[in-house]
Amino acid sequence: MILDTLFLLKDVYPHGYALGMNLASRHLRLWVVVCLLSVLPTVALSHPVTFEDGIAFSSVFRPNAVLVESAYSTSARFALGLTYMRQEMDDERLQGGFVNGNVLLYRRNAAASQANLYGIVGVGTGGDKWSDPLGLAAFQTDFETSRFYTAWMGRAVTDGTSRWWQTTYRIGFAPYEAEFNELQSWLVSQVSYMPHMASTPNVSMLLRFFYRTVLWEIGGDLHGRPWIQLMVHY
Amino acid sequence: MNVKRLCFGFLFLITGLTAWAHAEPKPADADVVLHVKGMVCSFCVQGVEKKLLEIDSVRKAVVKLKGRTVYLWLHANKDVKDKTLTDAIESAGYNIASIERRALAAPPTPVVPPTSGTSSSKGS
Repeated sequence: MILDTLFLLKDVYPHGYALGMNLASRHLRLWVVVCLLSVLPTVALSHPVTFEDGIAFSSVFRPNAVLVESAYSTSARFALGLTYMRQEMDDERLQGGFVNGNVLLYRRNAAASQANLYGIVGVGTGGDKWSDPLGLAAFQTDFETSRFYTAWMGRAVTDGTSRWWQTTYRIGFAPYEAEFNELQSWLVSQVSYMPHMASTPNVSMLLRFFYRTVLWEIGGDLHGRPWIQLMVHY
Repeated sequence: MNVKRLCFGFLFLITGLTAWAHAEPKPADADVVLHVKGMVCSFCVQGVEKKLLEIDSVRKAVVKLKGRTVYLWLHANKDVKDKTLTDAIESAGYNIASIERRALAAPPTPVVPPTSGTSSSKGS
């Protein structure tokens, strides 16, 4: 609430806003975001590795699934991350918290496009009593321009006995290009397959909004289940 | 659930309000112009700008995403090496295609007052 009040002061009382911004340092805002994102369900990092000293938070909300991810990039090729996931199935719940390493395995920078391949490996704990050791492995590959985006990702979790895996493919189009200070809108289609949750792939249609350092998506699948995603980079 | 919605709305407000627009200087008088490969989204711009502003001699950086171009203004009497710029862009995860520098203006010619036939010297 303090931060909210400070931001509103910008237009009403600029001097008060300047004082407030001095008090609300970058690190304070960072921890506020961390605390708030921790209560939100589901999110998925679009960039598991960002830039040197960059910090990324991602959260996805679905009625029966939660994914919260954060990552600190020590370089443009490696990031240390924390992941929390929960998936509710008919007869069981999969949940776990992980510490993971995200590696940029390959990147191709072209004049107007970028292609990436990421690998993610993590260890953690989960289960109803948070006492079961878990392992996490994932990959993500994507290709994007300023108006086209496609990505394919896969994730697997194991407790040494059972394995849960999922794969997702996305494709998106932006009707126009936008600068950093302009809002860019996207239309995104997503197909997810999680055999432990549904016998058939799940198709979702999403609207993506991208403005400066914030990305958020809203939409739903063909069964009417909502999808909300928020991503912030620092 | 109500608490979660409230927190989500609050977070939405904070993250949205953190994105302030600001007046941009004219690119035409930039000291250095970089053409960068791989910049395709706002997150890319953020990383490039942050790493360039960490260079001491860089006073201001403006990234134009549509043109894949970065305009830099340097502090007075300061310069920056091509390698420093290349390292900064690569630490952000991108590659430089080319670097252009604005030709420095010739130092102003001192104005010599016309001689009047007499001379004077400063007293000791």
